[in-house]
Amino acid sequence: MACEDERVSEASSAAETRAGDLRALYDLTAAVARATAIEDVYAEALRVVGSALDVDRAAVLVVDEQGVMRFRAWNRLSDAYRARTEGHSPWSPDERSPMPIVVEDVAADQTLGELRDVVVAEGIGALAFVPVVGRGGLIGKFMLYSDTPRAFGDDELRLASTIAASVAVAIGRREIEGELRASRDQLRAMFSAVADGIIVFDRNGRYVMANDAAATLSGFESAEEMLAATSETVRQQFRLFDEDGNPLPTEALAARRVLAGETFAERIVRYRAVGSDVDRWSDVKAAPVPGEDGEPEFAVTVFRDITAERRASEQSELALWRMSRLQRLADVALRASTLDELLEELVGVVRAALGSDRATMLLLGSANELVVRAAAGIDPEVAHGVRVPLGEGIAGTIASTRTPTIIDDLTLFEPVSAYLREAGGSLAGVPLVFQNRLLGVLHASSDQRSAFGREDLEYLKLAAERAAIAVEHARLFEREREIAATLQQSLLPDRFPPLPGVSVAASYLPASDGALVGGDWYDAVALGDGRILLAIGDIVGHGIDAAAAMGQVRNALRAYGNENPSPASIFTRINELLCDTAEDLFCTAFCAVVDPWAQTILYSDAGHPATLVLTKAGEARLLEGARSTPLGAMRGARYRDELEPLEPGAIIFAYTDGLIESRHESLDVRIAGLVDAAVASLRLPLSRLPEAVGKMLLPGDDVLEDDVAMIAVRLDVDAEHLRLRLPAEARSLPVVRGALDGFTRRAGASDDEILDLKVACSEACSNVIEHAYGTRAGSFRLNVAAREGGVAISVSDSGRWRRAHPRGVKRGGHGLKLMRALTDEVEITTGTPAGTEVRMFRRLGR
Amino acid sequence: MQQRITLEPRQDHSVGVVSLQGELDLSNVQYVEEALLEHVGDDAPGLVADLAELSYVDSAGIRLFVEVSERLRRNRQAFALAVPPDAPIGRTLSIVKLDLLVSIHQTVEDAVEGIVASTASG
Repeated sequence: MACEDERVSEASSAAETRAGDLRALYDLTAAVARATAIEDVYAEALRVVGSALDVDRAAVLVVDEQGVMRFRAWNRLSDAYRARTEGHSPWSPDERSPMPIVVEDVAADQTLGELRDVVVAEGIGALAFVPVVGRGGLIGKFMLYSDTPRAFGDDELRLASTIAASVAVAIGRREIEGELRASRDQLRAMFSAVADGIIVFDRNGRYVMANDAAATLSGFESAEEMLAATSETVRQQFRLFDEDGNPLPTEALAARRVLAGETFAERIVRYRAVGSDVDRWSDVKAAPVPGEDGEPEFAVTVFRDITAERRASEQSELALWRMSRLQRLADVALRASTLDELLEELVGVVRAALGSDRATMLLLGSANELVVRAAAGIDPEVAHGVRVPLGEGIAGTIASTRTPTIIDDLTLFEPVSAYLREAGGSLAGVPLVFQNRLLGVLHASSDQRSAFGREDLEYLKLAAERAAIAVEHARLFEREREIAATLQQSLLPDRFPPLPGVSVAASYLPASDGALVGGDWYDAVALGDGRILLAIGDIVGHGIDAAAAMGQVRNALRAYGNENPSPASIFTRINELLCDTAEDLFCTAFCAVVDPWAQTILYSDAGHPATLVLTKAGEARLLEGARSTPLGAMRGARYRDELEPLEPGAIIFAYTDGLIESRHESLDVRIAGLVDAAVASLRLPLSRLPEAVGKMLLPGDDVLEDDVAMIAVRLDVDAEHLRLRLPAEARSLPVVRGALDGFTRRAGASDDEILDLKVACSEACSNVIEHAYGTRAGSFRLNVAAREGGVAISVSDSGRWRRAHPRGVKRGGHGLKLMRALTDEVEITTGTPAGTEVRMFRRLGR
Repeated sequence: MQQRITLEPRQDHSVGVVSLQGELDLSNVQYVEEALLEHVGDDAPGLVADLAELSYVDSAGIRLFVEVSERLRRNRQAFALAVPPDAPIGRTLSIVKLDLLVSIHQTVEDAVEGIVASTASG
């Protein structure tokens, strides 16, 4: 029984051992499962080994990152021993399936090599190496030590291997957990470090994860707070738009799209918190995380706030756009040459810049009306000339209130001019104001409602500003040019009324740079006594001031000339006038009283280039006898007259210095050139002489730096005949008398005889003027001849007299009576095809 | 427009006196007629035109003097010309016997006196 009992006892002991082993294993497993730190697992493993196996000491070593076996847990081993044996492994590191190795008697062992003495010295008699094998192979070893030599049974080794496996599991799990922890840490670090918002959605669109950036961007204090909310409530706090500003449906969001099967989605989202007017922009990328079933389980959404960049680029684009459309405005001002051209271009540019359907420029005309001057996008036939009274219609209201205006819906604004009403839509308009004066209105209109914003109005204001300056400038310029041109025309006649005894031709060449008239002028006018007042001058300066001064001097010359026909006295008075009235205005001038009957010239020269006298014979000389200072240059300047005889048919050629000025040649050379040119032109008709001289002296292609004025007066009187053709107007009468005076005086008539002839001749001429042509314009001829000791006068017209005798002659009787009393013969021939002719003869010295 | 004639008006014993200087012809008769009539007040007894410095006159001027004389007479006002013996236009006036139609005196004083006297007696 005892044997039985022993066997039973052995069996029961074995069973108990087995149960103890199992309990130990269970404890170990539980410890492994329970252990939060690997060190606890090692300690538990050592404890289990100690209780389950008959070993004196044990140790756990684990391969570190460098591949070296390191002691992780042990009992009763000296530091020295551990230091000496650490790193030793009986297996090669890449051993796929290492097996336990047992050294039953260390003292007799040969395999431990030099370590044997160390092991012996530690008091170890026997040991077993039990490999710890993990997923990738050998990861450590379990050491079992006995102080005395002994063998290790298979069961013991198997139990040790099982414990080692548990340790391996624990180590493996720890590694995985470590990796996981590291990866989590990394993720967390990433989440919190990046400015990008990261949200992980599950397949139902719920938040799984979010970082602080995502929370902040979504309007939460922290990620936790955000995760506590539902994605739906969050979304309801925002209005989402696509890039073009269209509302964005939920299913179009990137996360939704990848959850719906797309492998990657990206889109720019514009969003605005409800109740805010600030737009923000986000670049949203989403990628799916597949679940076990291969279907997307999560959507990882990364979104980057690009509001700042957007705004910056919008700003710079806007700035560029603004610049470019302003540039176009400036270009218009530079390019256009006339006001109308400028306005047409301007409205075109405005229309394009605002993207409006129409742009219209109205300018204030007379009678407080705005008149459409330029329009783009409107049939010119419809728009041009449209008139809007101030205060009426849109333009009229903008003008009268001077208020930049936007009308979002034209149908609500009445009344509207027809061409605007047709279209409806909206309008933006601004007044054109220059220095507080209203010049007009510029407006743009669109077929769409609410098409214009404040930005557009600002642009219109700028355009209107430019336009106002241009309009004002053009107006001033046009006015100045008109005034100057009018002055020039009136002061520089290219045709002269008939002057008794002379022919006159003149030419004026304006300087190339000037739209403005220069200060050059000339004049030839009949004095009452048959003499001619000839003048030419050059006011220093250009423009209206010079032209006005020129007019003043010219008028003064005429007035003074009639009072006292002495060039020197005329100059003296004009000099005082200029010194009194104009501080810095002076003028060179040549003035002469030409007597074609006496064939003399009385002249004075106020600093003017010397006038030329050309004879029929082709000789030339300069009138240099009476030179003095320019007019207005010096108060009290003295001028004197010089009298010179003139040859019959002589030409007086006066000019301004532009004709002989040259930087390259001396004055003498130029004047010699002028003499040559003038003599060479003598063969031409007088009317072409000034122009021909100018052409010869002034290089054709060159720019004319200064104005040039030329006037040529030719003596046409011969001693025997006076021939005049004059308009049948009362103003011809003084001319007739002047010519007659000069001619008859030269023919030797006395003062009384001259007056008699004047009266008689004037009577004949007055009759023509009063009766020959009725209200029609006409002319008459006066032929006077000195013959047979007397003077023969013929006055003829081509009019039709209704009666045999001129009415005036017959009725009043005075005319005919005077003619008969004052002459020796009177003969009237009427009704001829040539009209009427009155012939008279008066003996002289009777 | 150049009138070639100057009119200098003054008063003498409430009689208007206008001195004509220059030339009088068809080209300026209308201007001179208006100017003369302007210088005689409604209450004035008459007007004297001093022609001492008139250098020229023809039938147009003569018609003017007759016209002015007739208009003033209708208004019970007198009109007289002062023409000195050496006046250049005297010969012209005498040819047409203007003194038959218009009162002509050698001096302004005579002309004024004549008007004042006729007013007093009339």
